[in-house]
Amino acid sequence: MRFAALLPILAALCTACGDKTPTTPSSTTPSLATERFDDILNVRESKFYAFSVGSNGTTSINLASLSPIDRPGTIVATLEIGWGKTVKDDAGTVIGCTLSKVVQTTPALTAQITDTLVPASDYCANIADVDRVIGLRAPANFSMRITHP
Amino acid sequence: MNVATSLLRVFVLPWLVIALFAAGCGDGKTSTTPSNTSTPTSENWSSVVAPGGQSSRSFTVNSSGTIAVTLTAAGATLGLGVGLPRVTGGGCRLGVSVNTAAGSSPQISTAADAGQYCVQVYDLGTLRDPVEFAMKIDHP
Repeated sequence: MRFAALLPILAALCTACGDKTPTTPSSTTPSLATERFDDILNVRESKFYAFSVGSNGTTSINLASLSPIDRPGTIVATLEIGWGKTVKDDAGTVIGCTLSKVVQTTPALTAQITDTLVPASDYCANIADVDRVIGLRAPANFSMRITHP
Repeated sequence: MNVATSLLRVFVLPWLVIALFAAGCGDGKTSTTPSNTSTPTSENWSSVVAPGGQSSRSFTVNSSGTIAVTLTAAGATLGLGVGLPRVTGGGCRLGVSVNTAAGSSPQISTAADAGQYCVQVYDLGTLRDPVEFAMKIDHP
């Protein structure tokens, strides 16, 4: 009788057990967008590119390519890349880039800058030829990748 | 003794049985770490480069790792590079390049983030006739 009284409890416990259904790992990583900033950089020049960070997360900036204008191949030169906040005029047009972080680097296929940009807002990526010795000797094509949430 | 035995049967044994069943539960909720592995891929490509010309091909790197490019056959010393595909117009924006003859080991081996890439073969200004080439591209 006492054992019979236990049966419903044991049955409930058995029902609760055995759930081996695989669970899908949850992911809180925001989706990332990759933007390209391709242009020509002249000697001693700087250029910037505005982009919008949509949510908290990691932003990476990569100077991937530096190549001659008039022939295939690559250029060996050190340039300064960085990120900052966009400057806008009264009409909301982006007119500048106030830099928050810069590094001097040569081109590579991995990100040279990885940072968390908060708050989600408008930012800019910058490239500049700043060094007369190890910088550009002639105008060059460059390609940057900006990956951000 | 009989009282103790009865108490054991009435109060302790049922809870012991319940505890054993309950102990069997719970391991199905162990969290799993999302996997982020990528199968290494090897691609073979052969084509022709004309005098003053260039030939390129794009490929996708699924996770961070090393891109290794081996120019396995070529009728001349050629320019060989890896970079990003142009946004418009085709072709390649090179990040790494070498001047090389064909060989059996990678002439270019470079770290790369996940993304779209391209490989390019180009004339160094020495070709008088079109040259065939073949290469192997290994990447994550």
